Amino acid sequence: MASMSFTTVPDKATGDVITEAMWDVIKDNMNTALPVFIASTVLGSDTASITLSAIPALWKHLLLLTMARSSAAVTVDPFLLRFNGDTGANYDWQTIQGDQATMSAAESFATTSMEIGFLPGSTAVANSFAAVRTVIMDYTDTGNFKALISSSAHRYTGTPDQRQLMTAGDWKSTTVINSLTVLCAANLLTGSRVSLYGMQ
Amino acid sequence: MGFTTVPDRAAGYPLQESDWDQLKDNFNTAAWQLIASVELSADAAQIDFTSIPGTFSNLLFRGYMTQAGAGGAELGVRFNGDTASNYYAGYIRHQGAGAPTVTRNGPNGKSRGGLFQSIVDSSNHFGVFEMVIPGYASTAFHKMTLSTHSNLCASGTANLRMVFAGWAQWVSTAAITQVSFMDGSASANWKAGSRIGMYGLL
Repeated sequence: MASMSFTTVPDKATGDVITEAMWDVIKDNMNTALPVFIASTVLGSDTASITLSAIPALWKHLLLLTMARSSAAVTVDPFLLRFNGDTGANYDWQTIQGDQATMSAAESFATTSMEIGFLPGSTAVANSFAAVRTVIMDYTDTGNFKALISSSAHRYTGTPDQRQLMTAGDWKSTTVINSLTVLCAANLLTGSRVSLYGMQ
Repeated sequence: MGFTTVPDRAAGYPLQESDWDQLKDNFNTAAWQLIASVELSADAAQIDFTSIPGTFSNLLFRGYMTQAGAGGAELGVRFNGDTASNYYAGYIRHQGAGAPTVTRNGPNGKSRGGLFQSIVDSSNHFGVFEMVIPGYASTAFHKMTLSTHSNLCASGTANLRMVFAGWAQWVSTAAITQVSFMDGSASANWKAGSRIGMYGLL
């Protein structure tokens, strides 16, 4: 995997020919040094899950930004992530949670997906979606398990009652991540959206 | 469009329009873009970003700031100049060696996202924050922010630094075209030298 850093692009005069070396500076900067958009999905109808596949192995880390709401008849529905379609018991994670004015912590081992946030369900206040920010580190590393950090928040009642969740977790696999799937207990509502970015 | 890998070219290869187009498209439709940045040359009550184009998927803000004078300012945000009571906010806060706490507030006329507090010898101490607004131009939901920020609140003593994980919700489905940063709880000024950059993520 490429792991170059940014190189300052030199000035050139009128009439200069673009040489291979100049092209390489621009190419390498573009391919390996800039944070870039990889893929996104905005749901046009209620859908059980969103999968972003064929993720190139070009970058060091991935950033996933989500706005989503669940159709489940609850105020709070766990928002789950899987890598490479793996439904085995290969996910460990730890969370700290703020619910109204109460702090708590939890941990889970050998689960079949990772909880990276909470979504408002159909009984939550109207038009409230959760924001979720997830950073997946070293997603192409074949020597170690994959690790992520995630944070999410949403409001679920007409009063300021909210859920905040911060997650640290591992996918116990040394396989390069080439796809990810997000889901919840029911459907992700129309308008839910995810964006994936690559970063060095 | 998403990113496409830029190919290698051999010495002597005549660059084609398609080569240029690939660079152009990557820059225009994949790379993160600095939309605007502000650095205060004098103390000011607000830092405004206006006429935000709706062409990106998400917004990212990074700031380095503190309040002018004594006391504490909160990281407050207002969208599209909306001064009505349409903002909810909260945060998990950790200070010193104490256990983290969580709080929430609203509805208010601006979000209240946790302290940016100046200290006695604050001349060289600024706080930092990062905030994302996913789907800022969507009309499908009420807008949310997620932020983290930290600043000093004492000097060389216990309870030295505060760390916040915050959120805010604007109860509106309107696309965000303006973001203003201000004291969320009162009307303190941001100190000269405070700065914020706004980035568009396609």
